[in-house]
Amino acid sequence: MTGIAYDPTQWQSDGRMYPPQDDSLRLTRNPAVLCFRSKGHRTYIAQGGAIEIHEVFGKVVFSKSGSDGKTIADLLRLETGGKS
Amino acid sequence: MNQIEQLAARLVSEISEIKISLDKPAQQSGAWWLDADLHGHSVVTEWRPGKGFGVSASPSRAYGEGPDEIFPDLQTAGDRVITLLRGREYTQPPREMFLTGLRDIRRVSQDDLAKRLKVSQATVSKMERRSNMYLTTLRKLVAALGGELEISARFPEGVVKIKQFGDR
Repeated sequence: MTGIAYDPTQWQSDGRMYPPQDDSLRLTRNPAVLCFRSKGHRTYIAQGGAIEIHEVFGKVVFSKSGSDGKTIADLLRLETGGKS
Repeated sequence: MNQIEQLAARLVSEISEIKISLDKPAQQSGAWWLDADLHGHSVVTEWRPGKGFGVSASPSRAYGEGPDEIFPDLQTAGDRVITLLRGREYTQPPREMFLTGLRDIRRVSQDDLAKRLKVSQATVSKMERRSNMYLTTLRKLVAALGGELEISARFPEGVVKIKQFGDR
């Protein structure tokens, strides 16, 4: 039981966050950061546990630092020597 | 040039002010995405080699949604994308589809579905081609795709859900 109400009209977006799928994987400029693409979003996941979700045509909708305190933005910026 | 690259080339040649971005997968066999924007109206096209195109143009920003419309070939997908962009139209989630299409839109392979149902891939293939099957089988198949089977009867006065065939 998930506690999420069954709603047939919302069958494509039931409120659950399903795990990323391997065939949606993209490489980023930092090998420690993986990107998973879906219809409307890019989800970035780093080895240290940092996570960010970006809308494809818009803003960052979720950001969480990793255990080292670094965000995805930090990790991608560091890899390019400050050029994001 | 693969099929999604051909689609990108067609859009650029037929719509002068279009902005496009091609999002390549890490593996060639993975899902490709083509994001197209014409004067603020966006159409997203997903292409999976050997599986066809998924096209979506929707104001919905829910996380992890599948495509609204499925097209098996480059020509029909391209025609639809151009219509959506030029007409500033939105796609609609499908109201009816075959089991194969339903599995595709849920992004489940025949192999994965077979494992979930504890049957062979060949059995899944046969199930998807049948025009008739036990309700219990269909219920399990839909559940394995993450859904819930409902059976309704439509009358002129309205629709009634039939409870006779509950979970067994």
